[in-house]
Amino acid sequence: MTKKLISVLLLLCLVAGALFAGGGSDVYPSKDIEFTVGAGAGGGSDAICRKVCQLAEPILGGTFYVTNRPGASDCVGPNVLMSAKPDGYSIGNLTYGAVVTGEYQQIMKGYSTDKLDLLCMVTREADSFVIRSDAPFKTWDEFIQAAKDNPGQIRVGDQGIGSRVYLLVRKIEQYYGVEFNKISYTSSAPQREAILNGEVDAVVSSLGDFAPILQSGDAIGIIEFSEVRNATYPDVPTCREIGLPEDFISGSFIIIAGPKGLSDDVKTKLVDAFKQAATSEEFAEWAKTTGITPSWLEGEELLEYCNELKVKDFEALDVLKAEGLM
Amino acid sequence: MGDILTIFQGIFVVMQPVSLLYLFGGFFIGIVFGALPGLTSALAIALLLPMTYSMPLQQALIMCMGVYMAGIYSGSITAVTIAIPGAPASAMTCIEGHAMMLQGKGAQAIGHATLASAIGGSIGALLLIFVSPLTVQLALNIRTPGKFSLCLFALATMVFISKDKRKGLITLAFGLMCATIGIDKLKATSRFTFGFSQLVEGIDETTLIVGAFAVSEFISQVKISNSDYKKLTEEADKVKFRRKDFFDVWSDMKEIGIWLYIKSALIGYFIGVLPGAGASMAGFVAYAEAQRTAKHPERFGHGDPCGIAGPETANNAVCGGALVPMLSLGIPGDGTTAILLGVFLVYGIVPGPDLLAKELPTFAPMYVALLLSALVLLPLSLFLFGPYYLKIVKINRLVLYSTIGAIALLGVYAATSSVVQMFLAILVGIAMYFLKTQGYPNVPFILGVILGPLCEEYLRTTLTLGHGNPMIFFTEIDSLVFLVLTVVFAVFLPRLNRRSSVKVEKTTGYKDEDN
Repeated sequence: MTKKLISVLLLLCLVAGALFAGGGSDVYPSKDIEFTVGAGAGGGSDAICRKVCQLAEPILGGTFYVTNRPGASDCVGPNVLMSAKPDGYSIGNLTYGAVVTGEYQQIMKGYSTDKLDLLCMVTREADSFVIRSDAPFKTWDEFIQAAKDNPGQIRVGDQGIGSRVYLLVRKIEQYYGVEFNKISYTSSAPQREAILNGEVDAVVSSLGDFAPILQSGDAIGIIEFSEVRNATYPDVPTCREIGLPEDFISGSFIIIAGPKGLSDDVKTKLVDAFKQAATSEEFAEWAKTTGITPSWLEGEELLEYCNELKVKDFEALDVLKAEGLM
Repeated sequence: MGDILTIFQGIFVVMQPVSLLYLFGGFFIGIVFGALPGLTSALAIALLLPMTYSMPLQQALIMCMGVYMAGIYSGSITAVTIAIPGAPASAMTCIEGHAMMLQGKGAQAIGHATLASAIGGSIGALLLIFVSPLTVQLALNIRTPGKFSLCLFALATMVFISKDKRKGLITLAFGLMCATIGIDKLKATSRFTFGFSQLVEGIDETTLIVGAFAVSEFISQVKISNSDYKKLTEEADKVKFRRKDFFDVWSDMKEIGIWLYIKSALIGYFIGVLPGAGASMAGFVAYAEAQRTAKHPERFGHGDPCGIAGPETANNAVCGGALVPMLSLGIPGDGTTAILLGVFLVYGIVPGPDLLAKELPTFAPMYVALLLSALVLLPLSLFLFGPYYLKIVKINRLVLYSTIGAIALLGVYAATSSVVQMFLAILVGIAMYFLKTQGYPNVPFILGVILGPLCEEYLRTTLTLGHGNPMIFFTEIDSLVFLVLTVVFAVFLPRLNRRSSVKVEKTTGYKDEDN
């Protein structure tokens, strides 16, 4: 009985194999496309990538399958892409960590986004300061005043020395001449916990990262480092309104990229599909529930954006290194 | 009262044939993924993630609950039968369970594990339904210093319950050292990678479990000749198991006492509520506590049902607990709930306190599904499949181990998408085999690698909180409590062990083995 079963199964496998091997034409995409997410399954970046892929599928006429390669400041996934074949069947995403931190720190030897073809940016998440709603200060000005009155006593939760939000906190310290007690956490989940249990006075990351506690009223945002107010949290003032210089604008993003050397045909097809998906009404609605801002950039504009960002933040990281903090 | 009504409505949702089908399906997937080393319930849910898009949210959640509960339980099946725990949470069950198996009491061991899991899972689910707001507040009182002390407590007790404390300490230190390989999470620099960029990812938990248990067990098996193997399994083979035997544990359970079950469930639930810890830590702590309060601590390590009941109750109680902070704060309690959070995000739902109150009808079926999985499906699965579990050992050894080996290594690849991790698993396995033959226990090593990164992270965060002054560990109440507990266990456990080794040698005459 078992022997029969096994032989039938084997036969089935053979038939299936023959069927799948038979396919394949010259029109892209003729098979499934692997999308490598540089973050763990279940996180915010993962959700954005899966959503945008899901919306882009019918437009492109192909199917994406997502693999998660988290770790090393979101650089593991992009690092895999760098050595993939540029046939358009392996693409993935980049975040701030993958563009700036990874390249500066050289966590992986030879890591550089120059080895990738950047296709487009789909979302942006501006950084913000979030405080407890029962804190003695309620606005940005009061918060800074409190920091001036208690040097080194106000605890601010960041995401590790040298991280994007750490650089931002330092910039604010220098601008106002204040000093915080900077507490490092690994990601936004422990940051949320720390603000809830009162371990820190403020935490820094995107408003979307703090959505659960903002919606429950346990915490409030006092500043967002963006140009325009967040559609989901219109009460939070932007850094521009507060009067900070332009270069304080800070945040992470999702960029879609592939290995260097994608053909023009593949590039146009992918960019078109993602453009329709990321600028669609459905995507905007979905993004609103999670506090993410859809933001489209492509081509030269995108490259310029990344290069400017690198120049600016590499400088700040150089200072950190010179001070022996990293 | 309205809440209770909603929960009852939830029962009807789960009782719909389609929902039941998803629950059974999820549960079965969970059993398979949990039992196979290298495949975990977290991986199962991650793989099901794309499927959940096309399902209604309630049914997706019902299915995930089945996977979750079954996945944490079923690791104990392979732990008992072939001494390779299918999931890290069952590492402790392996010690007592396999000892019982060798004595021909495999059915009872699995019976104990199943019923304890059912009890723990049910208590955890009930606590989730009725007291979650309260426990969230309690959990929020434990801050980073307290969490560090809790980790320290777990690590210290693990050394104290090792038969040879020096060897326990050495393996623990080895584990902690391996944990530092990879990226420094608080500074984004790589450590101890020796120029190999592949090592940046560090040693994954799946890699570790597969290496330490599966691979090292294969090597041990190679050393056992076929005739010896026959002798070893003869005991187990002789007994003809009937379905009844699995449930023939009432007298044992009376002796174990209802209090141990309740206590272990509370330990598990609470460790689940604490973000960061998880089922493996719950199992370790409950095992230590069961041994500390046992009437016959000398039986530990030689097949004591208490040593199965404690950790198995605790690790399934984690399911209910880990969902609490995920639902009410959006902070996942363990790896599986972290992926569940992704399911929510895809549906555009942001978990939070007010959401829990507003959308109880959405979550009620999920609660019911979790309770049902524990209370009904666990015993039912034992009744249906129990006899087959024990037949595993009757499979030709070559086929059995080579199949498990292939699946386990593929599981490592599925979890990490990295070939390097597969090689690391083999390396870890070889290292653990030699350590084991020299009498070094493997559990402290595993605990060291799992808790090491957490320990380091908490320590560094706490020190910055206290401006570099370690006194903060004594001035924070939550931290002090765990430090005192550590001392209590440090005083109690070695005494028990000393008494036990003397007694065992006197009564049975055979030498005390390391666990």
